[in-house]
Amino acid sequence: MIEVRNLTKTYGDTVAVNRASFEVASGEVVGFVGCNGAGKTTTMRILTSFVAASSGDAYVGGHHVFWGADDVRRLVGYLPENTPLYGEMRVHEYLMFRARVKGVPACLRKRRVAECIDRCGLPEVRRRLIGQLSKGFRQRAGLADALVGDPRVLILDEPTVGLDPNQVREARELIRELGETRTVLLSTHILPEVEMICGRTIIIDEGSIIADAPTADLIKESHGDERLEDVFVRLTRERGGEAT
Amino acid sequence: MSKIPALVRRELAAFFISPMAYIVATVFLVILGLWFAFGQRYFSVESGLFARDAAAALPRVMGILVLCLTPLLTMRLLADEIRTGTIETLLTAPVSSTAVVLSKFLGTFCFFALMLIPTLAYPVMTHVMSGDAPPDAGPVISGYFGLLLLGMTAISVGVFVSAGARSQIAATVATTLALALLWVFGSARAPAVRYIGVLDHFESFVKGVIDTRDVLYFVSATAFFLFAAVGVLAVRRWR
Repeated sequence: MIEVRNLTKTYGDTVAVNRASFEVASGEVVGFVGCNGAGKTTTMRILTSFVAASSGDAYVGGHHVFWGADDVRRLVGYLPENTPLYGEMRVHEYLMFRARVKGVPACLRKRRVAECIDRCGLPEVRRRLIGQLSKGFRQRAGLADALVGDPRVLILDEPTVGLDPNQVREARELIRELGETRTVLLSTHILPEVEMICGRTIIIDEGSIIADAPTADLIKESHGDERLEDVFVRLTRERGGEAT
Repeated sequence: MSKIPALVRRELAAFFISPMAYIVATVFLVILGLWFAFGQRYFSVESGLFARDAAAALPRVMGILVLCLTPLLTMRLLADEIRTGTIETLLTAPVSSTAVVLSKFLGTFCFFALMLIPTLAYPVMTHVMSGDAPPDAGPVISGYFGLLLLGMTAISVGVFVSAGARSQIAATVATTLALALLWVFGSARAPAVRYIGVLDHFESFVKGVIDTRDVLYFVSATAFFLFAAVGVLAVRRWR
């Protein structure tokens, strides 16, 4: 469903993504992890055709992210980092607007928005201004926005940041549920979360993919009692050691 | 392109929630009202031709106000979306950047046109007040038409600047400068520079002449700046 080949993105002299290649099959839930500034957000922005790559190719559902940007955008539901939303709109009004923009047919719109509001736990705030919502509700409104077009692919950039433990658990459940019918690529810093919901883990460091394997294998291959967190620290430190 | 109505609606709604739009509309109407009220004494003492003169001068005064105030209407458009990051949600939805730019433009233009409606009271008043010798309706109609075109061009400049600006304040300053330049060019000696300026083209509408050349000037200037705004958004993708 997602195919990335030799993807490179440079900002001036800084290399954000360095010849990254990976694939995500249809129906997979993949965790995309890495340190801050490793290139996660940049990769996701290229995949949603918000940013153009410097070289290399990426395809979503067989469409090139640059040449077939419009088709890609129709396929993908994207939750950007920090969940940017229009603060002056009300939750329900915003989701209706987004459904319209995403081309949801008029006859389905109301039902779809109501579904998303229910699913993301937003009924109590549906009439509230987004700007006045707590971080947790904002995040959920962002998730509802990503879902409202009923996309086949979900790209979520740190969907659980800023949620309290209960909300994290709910969000995790929701993502797991969504992963049953959709392809999900999610980035996060919370590694136990990846262990719990992602069948496969891709680790990116300084723009390069340094590990790409089923999550269970990553843990198994290591020294037995390691957790994903230890694997991550070991892999990223090793590389850091090489560099210095 | 089918998404444009939804986008325009949001844009227009955003105007009615933002205090800046109300401030702009208030300043515009208050200054115009003061000009009308106090100008009356000045005009009538000299010549007794107040009504006729006021009707003729009205679009000119409004034109200057439009150029001064549009930067405040357009500053928010794209600069704010870029600052808060909502541009990311907007451009990753299945809408083209052309549709985004066009809807920003159309939304602002609708607000602008609405802002002009209350001013129609002045031509009506001058008409009533002047009794037997009412001012010619022609220049008033062409003047308003010119105002719409002038506003359209000023808004497109604002949309363009807003697409490239880092902050709303920078957008306001740059748009004001650009519009001031367009105004100043109009009084230059060199014919080529003078042609670029907005003054001559607008003046003919004020005098009551609707010349296709002037219409073409405003329409092509608007198209140019909107096209440039789409270009600026495209460049952002590459950086």
